[in-house]
Amino acid sequence: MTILLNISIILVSIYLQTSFLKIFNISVFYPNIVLIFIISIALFRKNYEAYAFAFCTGLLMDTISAGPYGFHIAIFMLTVFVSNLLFSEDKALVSNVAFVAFQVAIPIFFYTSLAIYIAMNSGSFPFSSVTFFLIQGAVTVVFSLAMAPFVRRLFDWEDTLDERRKVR
Amino acid sequence: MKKVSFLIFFSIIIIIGSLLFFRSKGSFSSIDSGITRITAPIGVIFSSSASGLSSFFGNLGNIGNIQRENKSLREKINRLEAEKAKMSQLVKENEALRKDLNFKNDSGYETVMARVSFFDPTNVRASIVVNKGVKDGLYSGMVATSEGILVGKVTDVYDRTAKIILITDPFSSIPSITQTFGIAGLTQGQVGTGLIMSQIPQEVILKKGENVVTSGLGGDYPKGLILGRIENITKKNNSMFQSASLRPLVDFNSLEWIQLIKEK
Repeated sequence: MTILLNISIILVSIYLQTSFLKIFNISVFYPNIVLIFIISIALFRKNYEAYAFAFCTGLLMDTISAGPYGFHIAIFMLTVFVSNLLFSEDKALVSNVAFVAFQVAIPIFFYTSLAIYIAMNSGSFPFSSVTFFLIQGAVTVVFSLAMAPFVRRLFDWEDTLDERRKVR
Repeated sequence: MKKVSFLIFFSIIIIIGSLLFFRSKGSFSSIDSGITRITAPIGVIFSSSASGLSSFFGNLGNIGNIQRENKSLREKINRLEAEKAKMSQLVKENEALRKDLNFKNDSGYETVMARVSFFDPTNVRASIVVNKGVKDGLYSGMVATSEGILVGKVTDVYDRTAKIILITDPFSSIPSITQTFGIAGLTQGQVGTGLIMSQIPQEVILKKGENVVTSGLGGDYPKGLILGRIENITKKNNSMFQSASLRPLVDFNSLEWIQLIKEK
């Protein structure tokens, strides 16, 4: 049940990311909501479930995106890996501070990696591009922090649903 | 616990490495094709409804402006109709001259219309996925336009879908010239839907508001397709070249239909 719910959330966020947000942007900037959900899944879901989500979502994003191919798979799977490495096995005990720190660090890592790739491979990388990356990263971080309480509540609600089903 | 973590870490690296390896060998095209084929129709619905909603909200706040704009556009249409009549006369004359001189008619292209399914999810790279593919006659290297203005080039083609890298992508670079004075340069995409024309010698004088078109050099793009309009000119005393930032003439964020040019 929760897996199906999460699949729907991821699919809807991918469609929003690749259509709605492009059109309803804030002066060309918009948050990476797929990344925000992957971070949450990495923090609040079981290892195998989080890895499976990270891989499938990454593959879908890489297929749609201009590349580099494997970039999304790598970042998403590393997000899950780092979350498992840093936080205890009981992900329900993740503190708010850790949650916030993780939600800030991953978008910074994502956009820094992408900026390095573009700077190293494209012909020019002017100062305006650096500014763009900074603002784009900041927009994602702000949205991820703003969405954090709702996302946490959503995952708690999913857990409650699962527990109720088990009791039955 | 540590052993398990490192085992997972190495598995991730192996998975990503093999993905990249098999993709470079072309073994992944059927998977990519399958994924985009399944997801593209829903993408079309999402992107068209998004642009519909966007134009609806835009129109609500602009009714007064629309009326004024409508009036001025009618006047413009009349003026353009008169110019068109003149131009068609010139085209006929030109064709007759070309025939006389045995010139190849390089404006004869067939086109395929395609609908945008997805925009690039990163907002850093500029690419789109369209709902036409090999089965509709698309091939890698085809040029994409919108309203007669160059928007990009097909890079990956699958059965029913294709990926197009837009001219605003940081990896795009097109030999170009200014429309009136024929000043040559290189137009490159900038992160964040911008275009910059660089490699322009310092001694030439650029004019703001002038259109920049493809020069046809290299043969990747047909000659004379509009890229954008000069907005700002940057000159540095210690540099050999000057550059100009261009304003694209189409809104790359709300592309819905594009035209793909097929070479005859």
